[in-house]
Amino acid sequence: MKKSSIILALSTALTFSACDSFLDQESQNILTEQQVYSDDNMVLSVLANYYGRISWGQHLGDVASMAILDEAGFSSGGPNNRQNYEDNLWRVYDYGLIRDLNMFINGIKTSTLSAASKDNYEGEARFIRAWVYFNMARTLGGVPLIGDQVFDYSSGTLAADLQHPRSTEKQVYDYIISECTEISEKLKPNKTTNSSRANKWTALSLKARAALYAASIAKYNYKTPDVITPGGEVGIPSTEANTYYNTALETANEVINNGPYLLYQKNADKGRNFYEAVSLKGSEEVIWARDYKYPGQTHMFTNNTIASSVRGDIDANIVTPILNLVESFEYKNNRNGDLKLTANGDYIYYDNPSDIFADKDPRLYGTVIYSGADFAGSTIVYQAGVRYFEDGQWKVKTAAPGANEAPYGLVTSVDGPTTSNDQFVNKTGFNLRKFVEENRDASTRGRGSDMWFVRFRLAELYLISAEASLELNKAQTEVASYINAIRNRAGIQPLTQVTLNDIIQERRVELAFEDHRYWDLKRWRIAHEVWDGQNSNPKAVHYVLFPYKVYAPGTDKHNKWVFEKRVASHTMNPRYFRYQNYYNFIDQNWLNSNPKLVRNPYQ
Amino acid sequence: MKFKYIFIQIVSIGLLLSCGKDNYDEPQATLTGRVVHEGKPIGVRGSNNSVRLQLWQNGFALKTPIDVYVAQDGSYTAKLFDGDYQLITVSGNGPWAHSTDTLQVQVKGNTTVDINVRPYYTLENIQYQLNGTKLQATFQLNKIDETRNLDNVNLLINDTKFVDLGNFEKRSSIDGNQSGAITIELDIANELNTKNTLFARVAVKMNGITEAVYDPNIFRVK
Repeated sequence: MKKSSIILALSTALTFSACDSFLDQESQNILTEQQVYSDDNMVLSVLANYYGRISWGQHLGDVASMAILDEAGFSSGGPNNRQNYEDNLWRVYDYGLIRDLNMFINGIKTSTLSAASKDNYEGEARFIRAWVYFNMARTLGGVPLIGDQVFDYSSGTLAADLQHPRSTEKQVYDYIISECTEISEKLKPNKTTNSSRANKWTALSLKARAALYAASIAKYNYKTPDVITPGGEVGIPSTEANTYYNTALETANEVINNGPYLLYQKNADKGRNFYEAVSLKGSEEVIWARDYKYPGQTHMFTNNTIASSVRGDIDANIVTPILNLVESFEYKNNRNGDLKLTANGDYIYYDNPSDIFADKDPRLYGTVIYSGADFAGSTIVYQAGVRYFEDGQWKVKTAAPGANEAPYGLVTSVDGPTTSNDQFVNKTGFNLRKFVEENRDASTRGRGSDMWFVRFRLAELYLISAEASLELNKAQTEVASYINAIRNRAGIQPLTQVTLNDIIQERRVELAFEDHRYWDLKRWRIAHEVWDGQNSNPKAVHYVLFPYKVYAPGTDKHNKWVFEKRVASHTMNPRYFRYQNYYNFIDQNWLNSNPKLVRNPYQ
Repeated sequence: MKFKYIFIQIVSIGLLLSCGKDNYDEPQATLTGRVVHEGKPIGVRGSNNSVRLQLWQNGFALKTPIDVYVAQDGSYTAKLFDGDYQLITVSGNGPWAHSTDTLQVQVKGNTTVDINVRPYYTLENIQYQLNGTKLQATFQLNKIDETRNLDNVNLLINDTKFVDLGNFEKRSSIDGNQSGAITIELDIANELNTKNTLFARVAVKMNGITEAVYDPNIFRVK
């Protein structure tokens, strides 16, 4: 009895005593905030995570995003029957990321690193936050602004304290502009590797773009008087336009004049030069890009868009450019870019497949692959079929891609185009070149491509200056000087008189596939006119170009080429942008959890 | 061998049976009605989920509206559970002024409720006439709401019964602001030859609204 109670007493004592360091020892697998924020490598890995979470809209990780506007169409498999734009298309409402960024911004202030590097890290995180707000504003209008606050829930917290109403659209743009102004003082002016991290000039570029967006919304939202909310969550008063245009002009000029960036002019071949300006990593023109790096960080963009004859894997042609974009490129000396297909009621017979594209804006070469152009060392020729003369009339023969038939020889090129529903076969008569890597391995599934995606480059800043100075009624010589910097570099005739339509046109061709077209048409409030969903509107309907080789031995037409403009077989409906697409809908789940939000128009 | 079949039978009976708890009866009640102005239905675009009303129901923690799409003759139908609902128009969606009034609807069995709206324009006395190859429509266009101007007045034809500004073979338009007696003509010689069926409809498109006011009826040309 006594013995057992002693044992009991001893074991109880042992249980409740413990070595004093046992509960106090540092975890081997959890890092404290202090540890993270006081080590450069740790801070960089946290930032890298944020940089990896901010691709929205058109970008290389989402090839379909290139095909839903009027630049390219879906080409592989069956027809695409998109009828209109979704109410949540490209919608961004990422307060989880805002919270993470605010934790970082608060945490880095407690760091033991040098003041200079702390400032730079804080500036980067605040830049990313401004970029997130910018992406929210262009899709939703005004969203809740919460500053540097980090919200936590503990028992007793009132839900109402966590619910914030939407700020006005103007307040959000003002916030982005003032943040970018402050950040540009904190960030270093040096270039970063492959322009992948933010610096002073990136912040200023975002400021210029945000000011331009706000300015054009203020100026043009009179055209859509119903796209407005009573509280100003959507819509900016027209009296603000000039202030914003001034900010945009001053900021863009600061980047142009004082920044370390130059319009890329290293290659004497203008077409090649434009490809390199955008799609060659390290281009001295690029201010900010989403960089990729093999191994580890790659995407399938090259794999999905490559032409059949140069592909490295089975995939190809999932998204291919359409004739609408090709015709919007001017001729060097003629502002009308329509291809010359017929004359006097008959086709024009061209000796070589590429002759029809002679004297086009060289940027066409740098943006799309057209028939007769080269890619990665081989010439790509599109041939839909053979046109031959029989029994007194012209007939057309088509076949499977790559098939030969006597006496015509090759009937349909392995690169298409066809109207079949075959997978990975071209349907439009063009392929993408911009952002497509020439390295053949980049088009394989196993490797992928590490081509960067350009978010800001100097050419855009020139176009911002041109647009802002035009809207501010500056002298035409000044307006023209900005736009002609772009046009001279491109290799086409300069302009003397510039209108807004010239700016719209220039942005369409210079910045194609760079996530501008959709937002541009929205802020000018012309998207509902350009994409009005009418079959009779050539801007809303997708067109393709079918080249045919002529088989007529003994005539002067033999072995020549004719080109047919057709409505795209695989884009079934014209593009249809409704008034409600100017701003995304506020999700019902957000309204349920935050009743202080107000709905957007048409919702 | 026999055991195997018995086993398969037992398993398949087990698979096909299910506990009663997760089985709800499907909704039995049907709510039907029309979108009307002064008792007359308003024609809309019936394709592409274009025009909708919303049904809401109170008494639940989270709310999700039931979208009710309006057909081209201005009617709508919804399968519902019995209960009290609120029927509203969606701001800027249909060719009518948004009203903040809520229509209380009690659904019990099959229920018919018309919803009154104030369209920006109405069409009256629409007559179609085919003279040779020329299709002519005459009608009275009334401006109900002074805040909206017209983009255009259209006569549309299509080879299916769905005739609207998103689905048509051919159209003729008169641009600009107008009201009163309207006559609009469309030459359809080519379509009469090539199409087996042809339907026509009048559409009036106003500024700032995606949707247009249509004739609630379609006219069969061929």
